[in-house]
Amino acid sequence: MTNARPPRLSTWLAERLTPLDRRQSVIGDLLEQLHCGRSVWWYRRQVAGTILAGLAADIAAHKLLAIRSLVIGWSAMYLVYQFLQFVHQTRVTIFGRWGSTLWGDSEVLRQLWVYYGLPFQLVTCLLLMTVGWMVARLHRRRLPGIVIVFSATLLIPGVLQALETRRMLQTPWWPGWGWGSFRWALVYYVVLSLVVYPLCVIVGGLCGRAVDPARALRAE
Amino acid sequence: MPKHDVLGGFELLVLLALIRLGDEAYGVPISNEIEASSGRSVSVGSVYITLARLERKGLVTSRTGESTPERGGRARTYFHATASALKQVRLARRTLTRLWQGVPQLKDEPL
Repeated sequence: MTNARPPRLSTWLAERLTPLDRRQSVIGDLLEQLHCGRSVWWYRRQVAGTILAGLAADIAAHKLLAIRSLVIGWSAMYLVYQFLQFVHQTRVTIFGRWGSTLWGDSEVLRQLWVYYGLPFQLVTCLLLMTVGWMVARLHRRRLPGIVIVFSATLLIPGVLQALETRRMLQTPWWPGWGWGSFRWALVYYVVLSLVVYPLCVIVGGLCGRAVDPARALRAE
Repeated sequence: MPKHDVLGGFELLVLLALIRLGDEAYGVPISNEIEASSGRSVSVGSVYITLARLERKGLVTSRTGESTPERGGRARTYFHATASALKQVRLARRTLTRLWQGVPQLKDEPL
């Protein structure tokens, strides 16, 4: 017997992403084993394995739901894209006016606002969280697999952007630029596409999870 | 035979472990039994997912057991193999044995 405390993050993830049918039994078994002397790393590995196995089983058993979630999610993404295009076109005037009063003499704030488009990115993240929330609310029963598959498809444009950025950075037009702010800004946008945007969808999806798992089970 | 009636490799392992353990079978002992017999690492979650599938096929029944403080107040779920499960396992053994006998390269290998 040990008094090892269960890792908080793993338990938090297990309570949200493990298969709904036997979630409490799985978590109970893992806690019991931790109490009987298994290591914290064993617990973490088991949680990760359970989440992955659950995702694969959910998707394999509900292919049509997964396709439906992609259609709904990407339709919502198209609307978000159209809205962001509009914001992007007007942000120089609108955000620039607000921004110039905010950044004052600070060069760092000006760079964050103008080159890194911080307010624009915050709006994008909020909208992506909303899309993730919406996909989750429409697929409450199969939530973890569905939301993660949808967020994984966001990696496709991210990878394409990363490849394009790599190609741009290798071209000979930049020899005098060194690793200046422009290049870092390119890398920053790749990180946004590959990491931050899919994460926003997952976080939004977790917010849209079923509050009462038993009710979600009955609803199916 | 319909596709859903055929036991998969992992399903067969889970069923055999379940039958060996008898009435006290739940997630962790089943995965420990498979790990001890096969030497491969098994996640408790994949055992539960397989058990849920077997339950849908009518090969396994479950009952909710006691909850303990070590489990954070969460109840155990015990599983029991049905008569159809035993029939399926016997069928799988017969099929595998027949196939085994037809492979000359494996004829003299010890079990």
